[in-house]
Amino acid sequence: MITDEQIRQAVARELKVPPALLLRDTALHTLPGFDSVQLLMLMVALEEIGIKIPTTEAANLRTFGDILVFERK
Amino acid sequence: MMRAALTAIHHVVPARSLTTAELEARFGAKHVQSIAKLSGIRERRVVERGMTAADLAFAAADRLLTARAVPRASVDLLIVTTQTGDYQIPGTAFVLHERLGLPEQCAAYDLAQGCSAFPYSLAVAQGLFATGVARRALVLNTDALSTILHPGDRTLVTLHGDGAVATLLEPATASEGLVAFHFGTDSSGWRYLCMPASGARQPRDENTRKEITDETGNVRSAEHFQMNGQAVFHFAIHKIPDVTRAALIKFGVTMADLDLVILHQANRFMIEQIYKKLEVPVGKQFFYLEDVGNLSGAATPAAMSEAVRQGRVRPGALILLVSFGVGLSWGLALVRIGLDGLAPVPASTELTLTDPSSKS
Repeated sequence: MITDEQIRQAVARELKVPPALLLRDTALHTLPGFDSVQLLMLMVALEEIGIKIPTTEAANLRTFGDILVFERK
Repeated sequence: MMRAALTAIHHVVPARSLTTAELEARFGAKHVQSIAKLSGIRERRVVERGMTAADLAFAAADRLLTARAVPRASVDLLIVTTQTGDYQIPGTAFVLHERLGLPEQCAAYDLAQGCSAFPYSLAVAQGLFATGVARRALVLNTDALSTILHPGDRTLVTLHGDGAVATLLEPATASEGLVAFHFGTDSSGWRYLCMPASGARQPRDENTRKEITDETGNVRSAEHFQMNGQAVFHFAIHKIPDVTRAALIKFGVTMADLDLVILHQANRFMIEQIYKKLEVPVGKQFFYLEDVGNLSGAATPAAMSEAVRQGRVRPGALILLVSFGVGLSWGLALVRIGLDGLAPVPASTELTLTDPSSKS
């Protein structure tokens, strides 16, 4: 099972932000330098570490906590 | 049962180029460079005021029929696919039927299938060959999505271009033709590619004209075409490899049998992800979006046409066409090229407002 910390590290690496910025309620679009392209890259990166998000859920992906919720589902 | 074969194909894009430099001035360099890096799109060809998707389709068809000396009276089926027709009523096929000088006995109608249009229109034509209705069909896939985007929608404006493709279908010999098709729909995602105030459900009024800026800075109103990019991207990189594998099994062919796999030209990163998952060898991949943008319903056939122009389609080639988009829908067509090959149509692929073929 992938831990929250592993997901935090992966997201931080992909979005090029300090892991400490990624709290559950952190809206991804508020992160420094974030744009819609990074979100697409992030989805591919998450899949590569084994997190599969359904298309309907991907449509509403907003916060770092959303990713954790999908993984736990 | 008679089958159809693809015997000529020609595409046309507007001469007007919307460059990355122009978009950087509008949206800022960082954002545009970021999308350009992902999409692989350097320029988009967009219609000028006074030019429509029907004009592009007319130019593509007129040039193909003229170059190949096809008697217009012999065309007995015209299928037009577009999301940006000249009128809501009548269909664009009627407008083009008249402009092209096609005969009264030629059936003409529109299909609206968004980016999936090419395989669907080929399959419908194939069905009419099989039932004896058609013996020479003209399929026109055309879209001018730039006309229904908000100029402040920095994601979609940066990705989309306009274009049209004319494809001629004639009776197939035993060694060529439209071999097989595979289609599907995930209607749970129809909202992800939508122009909300474009029909009866949401009539246009002062509210639908209100501009809204989303959290990533895209400006649009309900009267403009909208896309949930993350959902569509997710659909494309997950569903399309799965359905392509299923189609190959259904068709009884393997990747090794194919000469070329042409995908909907949405953006380079997406295409590369799908190729990677399907393990498509580099030599069987094809890209045609860097200088034109995502041509929506014309994207897959334009890539096919460009592959012909670049000499990438050898005589007897087996080609898999994979289109997907609005709906959410997908369509795959397996096409065998004739042993005589498919020569490029010797005509320009650009249209200007001053070109005689742009006059209606």
